[in-house]
Amino acid sequence: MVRSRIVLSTAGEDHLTVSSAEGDSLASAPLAQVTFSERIGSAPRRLVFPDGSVFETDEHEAIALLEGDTPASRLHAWEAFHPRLAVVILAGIAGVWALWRYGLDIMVAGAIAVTPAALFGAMDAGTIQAIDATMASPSKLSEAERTRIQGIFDDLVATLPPGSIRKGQTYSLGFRSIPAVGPNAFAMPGGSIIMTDAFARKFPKDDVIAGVLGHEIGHVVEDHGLEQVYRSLGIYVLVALMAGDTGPILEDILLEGNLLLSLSFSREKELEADAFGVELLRDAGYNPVGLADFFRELIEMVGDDNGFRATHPSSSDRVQRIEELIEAQ
Amino acid sequence: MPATPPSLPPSQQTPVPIEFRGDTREWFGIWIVNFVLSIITIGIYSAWAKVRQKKYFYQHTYVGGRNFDYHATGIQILIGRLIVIAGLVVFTVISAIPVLAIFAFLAFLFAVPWLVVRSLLFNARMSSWSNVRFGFFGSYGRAAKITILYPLLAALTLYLAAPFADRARRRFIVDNHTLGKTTFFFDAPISKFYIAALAAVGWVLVVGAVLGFAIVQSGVLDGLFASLEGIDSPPPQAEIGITIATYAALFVVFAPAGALYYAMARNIVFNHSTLGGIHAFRSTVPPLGYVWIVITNAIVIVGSLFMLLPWAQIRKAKFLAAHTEMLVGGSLDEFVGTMQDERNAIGDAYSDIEGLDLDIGI
Repeated sequence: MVRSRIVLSTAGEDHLTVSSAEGDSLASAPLAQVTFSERIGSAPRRLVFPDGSVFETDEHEAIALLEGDTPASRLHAWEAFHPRLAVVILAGIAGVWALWRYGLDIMVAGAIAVTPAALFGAMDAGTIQAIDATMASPSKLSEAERTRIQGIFDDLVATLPPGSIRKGQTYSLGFRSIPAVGPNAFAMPGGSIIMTDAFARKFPKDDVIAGVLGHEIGHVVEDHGLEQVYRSLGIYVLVALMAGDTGPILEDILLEGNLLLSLSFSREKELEADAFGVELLRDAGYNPVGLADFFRELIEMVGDDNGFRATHPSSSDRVQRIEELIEAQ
Repeated sequence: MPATPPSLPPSQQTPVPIEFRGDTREWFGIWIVNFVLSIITIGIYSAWAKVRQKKYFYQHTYVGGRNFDYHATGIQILIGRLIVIAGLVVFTVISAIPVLAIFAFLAFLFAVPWLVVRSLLFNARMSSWSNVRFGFFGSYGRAAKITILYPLLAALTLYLAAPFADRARRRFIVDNHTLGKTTFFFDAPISKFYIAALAAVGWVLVVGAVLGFAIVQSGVLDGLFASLEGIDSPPPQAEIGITIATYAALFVVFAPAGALYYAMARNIVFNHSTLGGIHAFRSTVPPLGYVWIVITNAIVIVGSLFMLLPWAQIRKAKFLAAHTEMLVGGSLDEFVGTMQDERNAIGDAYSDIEGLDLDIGI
């Protein structure tokens, strides 16, 4: 490093010359060919000449004059610590809210739209294989039972509006004996729905079966499974991109927050599936009260109240919502 | 490139302070504009924001009056981030298919050393001090050992041998970095790492016991145990109590232990690292002081809804810089002069490195 001075001559084309204390020329070039480093904070500015020489200085005002008005200099002006920053902060808060409320949903919908059709089937096949390998055995329900339930299922699927079946989704009902999960029915993104023997035995009424199957079909139609996955991923990516360096403790808190958010999202989706089920039942000719009856029986069997750490809303809430929906019809 | 072990006695080294000249008000403006522009562009600007943040912290850090600089462009960071996001998405979706999940995991596992090397290479080449670029020469093989093999072995010993894995990782990183053509070197007795690990574990045990005692005494868990005996679900107070207890545990037991280990390990690395065999470093970060800084920072950040995050970042940077110095063998000007001669001789081929900059939680 050598102490030097820089001179701008404006005779004809603007020209910059760096010379040593003794007056020797160290570097020289037209102003247009000199690269200015971004102005950031109070860090020294660096001017890079075509031959690789670097001139470094703290004389910010002078260099700002040389540099003139550029996007970089305007950015620096905006970053100055000034009451005007309050506007920026408000814009930030508004932006976060908008992104949360709308942006995330748009991103998730886009991701689902571009998910290859083949993937839906593959997810179902893989999940069913895994369940069969680990905790399920073939159903022990009678042929007659299965036919009856299949009939209800086929009624419901037939009632679905044509546009609601996505390419790659095929609705199919499977029966398994899965003692580990008790009376249960669950749906996979590709349209495969499994009902356990215990469920068929404990809740034999047509309307109740229709209610729960309708609810599960609702999960498939609205892509809840994939939504959950993409949403969680989306939040993680956005937080990682924008939180910057928040420190070790906060990273853990933010990730735990992501988990709590996805639980709340999951409860919302359960209520949506209930609402879908009620409509589908009515359209297919079953009594939507069946779904409410299911939750009433559930309250008697295992009690109520789940709290904010649960994936499902409390059964009493669900009964209430369903009855409101039925009345509104 | 073999690392050069130290060859100059400490008495012939001059201490040169490391200063961080960043200012909270200055940085706050940059940070908030970064954040808002990132939000408005749904994360795309975050690549440029990252460059600006690194430039701010690098250019305001001085060793002997000369500062660092960061040379990556927003486009390079953006491309790297898009690649990482694409990889994450593919990985998540394939993992949703149970049979393929295991293959996805294995593919990811064997990609990690490659990702680590590319990232370290990119970051080194894009960083400079006194206008001389850093370099990185680590190999995939060694990276695989320290990211996969050693942690696996450590786990097999129930983490009793974990300090060995940590030391190996730090040696890999330091030994393979250069400043210009001058190599770094690090080696320290394993006992120091064990002391640091014991301090962290000790903290967890002692503070954890105290916290556990306090929780039991407060009766928060009584409701939970009562409910486990009956069929009633836990009352809301117990739920909230459990959540508070979890965060308390995180804040008071685990995070400080992590910070303790970080400070002590940092001291070990700096105090046993050399550059070109004749320059050394010294880090005198007080572990408990560092824990205090980190914990109070977190409280302030959360309490201010992240508005005071810039203050916390500057505070930590100043604290660490204040406790770090370089011990230069001979004159700093001579050292810089030599490096610049070397650089002119090999030519500046560093500007278009294709590199990945990994910063998404890997």
